[in-house]
Formats: sequence, structure tokens, C-alpha cells
Amino acid sequence: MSNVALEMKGISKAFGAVQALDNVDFELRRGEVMALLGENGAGKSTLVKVLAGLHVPETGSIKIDGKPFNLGTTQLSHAAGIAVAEQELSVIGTLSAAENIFLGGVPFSGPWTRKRLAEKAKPYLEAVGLGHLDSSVPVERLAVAERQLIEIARLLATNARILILDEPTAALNDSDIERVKALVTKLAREGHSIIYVTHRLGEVFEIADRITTLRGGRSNPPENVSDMTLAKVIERMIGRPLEEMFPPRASGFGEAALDLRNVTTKALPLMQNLKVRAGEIVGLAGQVGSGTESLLRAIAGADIVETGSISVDGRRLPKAHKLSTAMKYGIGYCSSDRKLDGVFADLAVSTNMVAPSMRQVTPRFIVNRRRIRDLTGRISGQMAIDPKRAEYRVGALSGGNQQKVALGKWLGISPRVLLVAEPTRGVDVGARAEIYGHLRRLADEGMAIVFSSSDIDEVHGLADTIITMYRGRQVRTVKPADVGNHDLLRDITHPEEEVA
Amino acid sequence: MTETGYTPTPSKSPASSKVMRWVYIIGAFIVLAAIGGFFNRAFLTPENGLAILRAAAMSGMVAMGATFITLSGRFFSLALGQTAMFAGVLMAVLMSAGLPFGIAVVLTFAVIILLGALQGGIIAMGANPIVTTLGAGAILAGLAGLATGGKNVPIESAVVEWIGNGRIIGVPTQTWAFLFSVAVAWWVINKTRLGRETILMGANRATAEASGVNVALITILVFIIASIAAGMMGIFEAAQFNKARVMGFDAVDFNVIAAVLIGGTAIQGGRGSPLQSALGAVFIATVQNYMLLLAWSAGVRTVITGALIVVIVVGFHIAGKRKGA
Repeated sequence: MSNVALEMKGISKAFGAVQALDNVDFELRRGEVMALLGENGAGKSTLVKVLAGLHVPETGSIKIDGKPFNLGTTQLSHAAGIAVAEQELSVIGTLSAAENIFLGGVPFSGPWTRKRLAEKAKPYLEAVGLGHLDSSVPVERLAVAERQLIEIARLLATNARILILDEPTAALNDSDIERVKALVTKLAREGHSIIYVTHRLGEVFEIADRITTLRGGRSNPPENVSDMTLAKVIERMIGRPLEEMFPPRASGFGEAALDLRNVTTKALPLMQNLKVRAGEIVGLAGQVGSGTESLLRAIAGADIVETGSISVDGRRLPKAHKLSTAMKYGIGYCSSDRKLDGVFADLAVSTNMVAPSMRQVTPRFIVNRRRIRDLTGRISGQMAIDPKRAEYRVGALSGGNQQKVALGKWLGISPRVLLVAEPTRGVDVGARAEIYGHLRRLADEGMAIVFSSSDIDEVHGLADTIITMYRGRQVRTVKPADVGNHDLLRDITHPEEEVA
Repeated sequence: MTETGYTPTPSKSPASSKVMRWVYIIGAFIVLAAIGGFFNRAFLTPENGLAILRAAAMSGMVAMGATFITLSGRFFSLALGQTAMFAGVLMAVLMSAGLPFGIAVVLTFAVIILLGALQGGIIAMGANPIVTTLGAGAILAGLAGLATGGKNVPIESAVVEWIGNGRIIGVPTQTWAFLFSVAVAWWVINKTRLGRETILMGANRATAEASGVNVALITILVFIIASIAAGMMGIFEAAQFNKARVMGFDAVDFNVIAAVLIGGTAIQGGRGSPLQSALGAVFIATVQNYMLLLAWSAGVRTVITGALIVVIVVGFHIAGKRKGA
């Protein structure tokens, strides 16, 4: 018997005019972790859904342990020993851990008591490192990471041999990611075959044995991780050589454009000082909740500044300023949640672009169509947004184009300071370089830019000056040339040990 | 970060879907008129056309104001009928106290604007618009009852008589007022900063705020606009009967909301137009007029009107869902 657990050949699946999967080949060996990679829309989710029995492919064959299998329904997929942990957590919050684990059916006959259920659930919880957990507590009271682990425990309870994990770490912070990664490695060692879908390419090199990349619905042959580099993986995903991901840094800076002194807010009780010069890009590195985004919110006026002072070009902002006040002083702010407060997803690109500039495009309160057209044209040109899409709904654009609209709309007020939280969240790898290029160009034109990011590579590659943050405290301010990614990671995860 | 599995074909530009919507609406009217004329000769006459426009005028002019509230994402006001009644009563009381018509009207609108600003202000501070206007409506109805003792207040004035029953080139004054308010509402929504910001706020309040739109101010303004529209209707209503009545306003809020929704303005805001609401009002008036011509009973007419609203609004919802995402 060969060591191939799953073999897919010539799988095609179309949705209307869109060929989601085009003659895809895929192979999974026993006991390996296979990373499944690709940009949004490359076909990863469709492939996963074919394996889960949710989509029936038009062509192609599927073999499991060498025998042809029909996976036309979720029941058939279960019977074939395949189990899928969805991207969005599907544990049921009001049920206990044990009840969640046996959602698909109870593996014993006879009476069905809480105690018996807990007993039966125990080994599965132990397998995912949650043996200490009181399995009768409603899952909603547990941490996100623990819910993710319970989701995986549920897969184990189905006795599946092939586990598919669809972005299991997307919602987790760094220390929780470690737990999931350790679990994946352990499960593979115990003989499970694992398909691991992720956007975090760094993880791939730590836990995966091989990589299959999809692009535009087509598959590349599997490759050993040991033969790959990050740049090569990205090239496979975007189908062309990756130009330098990050633009060259600035050679010099102008006067101080943004100056914070002893600023505190409710979310940031420790005093914050920050100086950013014209033409400079400052990167705030920190995990979710470290205070990086709170600092941007304080400057932008989204959070109320309780003490301290903020000045732009030497002009001091009034106390407890609001968003609209910050705008008048030349501060533009893009939050990390574009859909929430960055764009109007249902409105046209052009309407989005002029939204912060209503005063300019409606002189004496009357709409001036020519000014709207001129401003839209200028922003489209600067941000390289196809002007033919000016009347498209922003929600119909790709993440990268949405981000360009969210950034570009601020050009209308010619800001002195641009604040950007998570500049490439939800942006495909191929479009990231473009976003970085735009930010650098805006800085070169004299803007002061501050961005926050939980992605160390991004901060290290883009920023002129790096500030690491941990639990609301600025750990240190460094030049990228003086530190490695490893130092930054330590700063934002457990800086105390460095001091000790 | 969420993967859709396949790239959706980009949705058509808003311009072409707008055109399609108008094609549907006008098509519905033509079909309705053809069927109506076939079964009842009295339906397709110029006089009946004017009668329909006049019937649509009252709730139609209020719907012009109410559309602003819905577009801004503040749902509806449930106090518009009571505001109309209150305006009529206030004007009649002021005039019976000896004030001339002009001053009475100015004072009435001053009070109405204040009432709209108050409701908008409370809602801007975070109160639910439905609850706030429900309460405001009850208070206004109560005040009107207190002022009149529940009786009608007669108005004796030649000007008011003409406003209520006069015609300009054969067309009733109410109809002119309706057409005028349609033009003004359309212009404000499409051509002014206030209109643009109303749409922005309805499309996504958080983004609007982050883009510098003063959402509190817009909220107050849209409730003032709706109150003015309701006050105007109340004065026309009082003028038509030469007396301010404290009854007969129960159906106003229903008709207004129905006109806005049938016109296709999105309940959650950000999409729609006063023009569509105007057509919605005319559509409802047409259906009701036709049922009257067929001499159907009031109960049947109400059931059919209600069913029609549900069918059309649900239809819009389904069509929007299929197109959306």
C-alpha cells in the first residue's frame, strides 16, 4: 500500500462564468502536514468544500487510500474519514465542550448523561491539550484559542484520518497560535494527514512538510517546504516574480509634523510621547490589544485624549478633540476595520473618494460635479485605481483596491499626518507591495505617516522608525537596521524577560 | 481575509441598476393603467388622473420629508400624522385668537421646526428613533386634544379657503404643493451637501463620522425637514375643510411609510430617492382609487393595500439580496 492518503486528479468546478477550480491535482501523504496556499479567490475554499462534500466537482476523480471515492455529500465525506474545521468557528457557544465535541453523534449507546459525555470527551480534550478543562462549561465562556482547539477536538472525535484546518489561526494572537501549531505537529506525528489552509506564510515553514499552491483555480505540483523560500512561495501564489516587497527608505526627513507629549486616554493610561517628521514612516509594532491602535485612535480623535498635548506642524490641537477637529488640523485616519468605518461598501468608488472632502466639492453647500470629477480623477491617478471603476460599489472590489480607496480618500484634504492601522489586513500578498509603495510615495511627498501592525515583517520592512509596544507601554524606539525580526517579536510578546 | 472561493463578477455600475429600477416602476404603472382602463372606463380619464394626484398629494408631500429620515439611516418617524394634526390645530387656534393668516403660519412653522429639532436632538444623543417619535406623537396628539377640548376648530378666512380648495390652471393647490415638494426634495438630496451627507450617513454611519460628517447635525436636520413636510400637510388638510380636526390622521404614518418603502428606499438607509417615494405615493393612490371605482368595501381595500405593500417591499428585498454582496 502506498503512503498516499488522498489523491485528487483533474478536479474542475465552475460557478456560472467563474471557473473556481480548473483541472486541479492534489495529493496528501499519510502523516504529513500539507499547506494549501493561494490568494483570495484562488480556489482554496472551493477545494476544501469539495472534500467536505459541500460542492460536487464537474470533472475529476478522488481516491482515498488508493480506492476511488465519491464525496458527493457531507455524509459520504465523513464516511471517507475526512473532517473539516471551518474558517469561521462553528462551535456552539451555549453548549458545553463535551456537547460540542459530540455534535455529530454520540459514540455510545444507552443513556446519555452529562457525566458519561464528559468521560467520553476527556481523551479528545486531552489530545488537544485541554485535559484540565471542565468540559461542562458553556464554550462561549472560553477563550477564542480554546474554542478553536475544541473545534479540532471535534474533528478527532469523528475518527477522521484526514483533517482539514481552514485558517485555524486567523483569529488568534501569537501565544495561542503556538498552541495550535504544536497541536498540528503532534497530530501529524500520530498519523493524521493534515491539510492546513493559511494566510500566514510564516507558519508554513514551521509546521508544514509540503506546499500546494493554487492560483486562479489552477494547481501547482506539491513542493517540499525544505526546498522553498518565502519569496518563492509568494511567486507561486501571484504567478510572477515578486519585485522587492518593500520600497526603498527615505534619505532624509523634514521638520517635526506630529508631536505627542504625555498623552493618555482610557485605553492608554501610560503616558505616550511620539515625534514624527515630515517624510517619515513610523511603525508601531504590537499584538492586538498592545495599544498600537489605541495610540492612533487617540491622535485621530476617535478616543478622547484625557491628558497631554498633540500638535501638528506646531499647532496644538484643542483638548479632547474629535475626529472632525483632527481632520481640520490635517490628520487622516484609517482604522484596521475597513468595512466598519473605512469605506461605504454599498456606495460608488467616487462617492467614497470625496467623502472627507465634502466642503471642497460642495462650495456654498451646492454639489459641484466638476470638482467631484476632478478630485476623483486625481485620487484615482495617484493611487492607481482604474478610473473605469469610479461608479462601482466599493464592496465589489478586491481587498487591495478597497484599501487603496480607504487610503486615497484622504488625499482630498491634503493631510499632513496619515494614520493607518493594519495597512494590509485583508489585502492579498500581490497587492501588499503596491500599498507599501503608495505609503512610501506619500511620505516622500512630505506626509508624516504612522502605522500600527501586528505583522513584524511589515513593520521591519516599511518603517523608518520602529516603536514596539506591549500592554500599553512603548518598549523601545529603534531603527530597522539595528534590530532583527527576532528582537521585535520578543519586544511585543514578552519584553520583561529581556530586562530580567 | 474571508475567502469567497471564487471571485464574484463585479456588480454593474449603480447607474444602470438605477435605470432598471425606473423601468420596473414605470412598467408597473403602464400595466396597471391598461388593466384599469380596460375594466373601468372612468379610470383612464383626465379628471380621474387629477383625482389620483390629489389623493396622493397629502401623504406624498409628507413622504418627501420622511424620505430624508429613512435615507439617513434613522428609519422612520411615527409622529408625522400627529405633527400634521398639531400644525393644523395650532394655526386654527392662533387665527381664532385674531392673528392674521401670514403670522399664524410663520408661528406654526416655527413651533413645528422646534419640535422636529427636539426629536432629532434626542435621537442624535442615541435614543431609538421609533421609540422617540412614538412618544413625541402621543404628546402632540395629547396637546392638540387639550387645546381644542377634542372639538374641531373652525377657521374663517378667504385665503385659507383658497389654499384648501383653490386651483391653479385647473390643478388643485395640494397637487402643486406636492409637485413642488418633490422638486425641492430631489434637488436637496442630489445637489446639496446636506443631501450627500444624508446618504453617506445612511450608508454607513461610522464611516461617515470618520470622514468628518456631523451626524448629529444631519439627524436634527432630517427630522426638521420631515416635520416641516408634515406641518405643511396639516395646514392644507385644515384649509380644505375650513377647520382644524383632531381626528382623521391615523392613516398618515402608515401611508407615508408605505410610500417610502414601495418606492424602494432601503429601510436601513443610504439607498433610495424622494422621486421614488413620490411614485410610491402615487402608486398607492392609484390602486386605492381604482378599488373605489370598483366600489369595493373599505375592508377589502385595506387588505389589498396591505398585501400589496408586503409583496412589493419583500420583492425589493429579495431582488436586492440577489444583486448584492
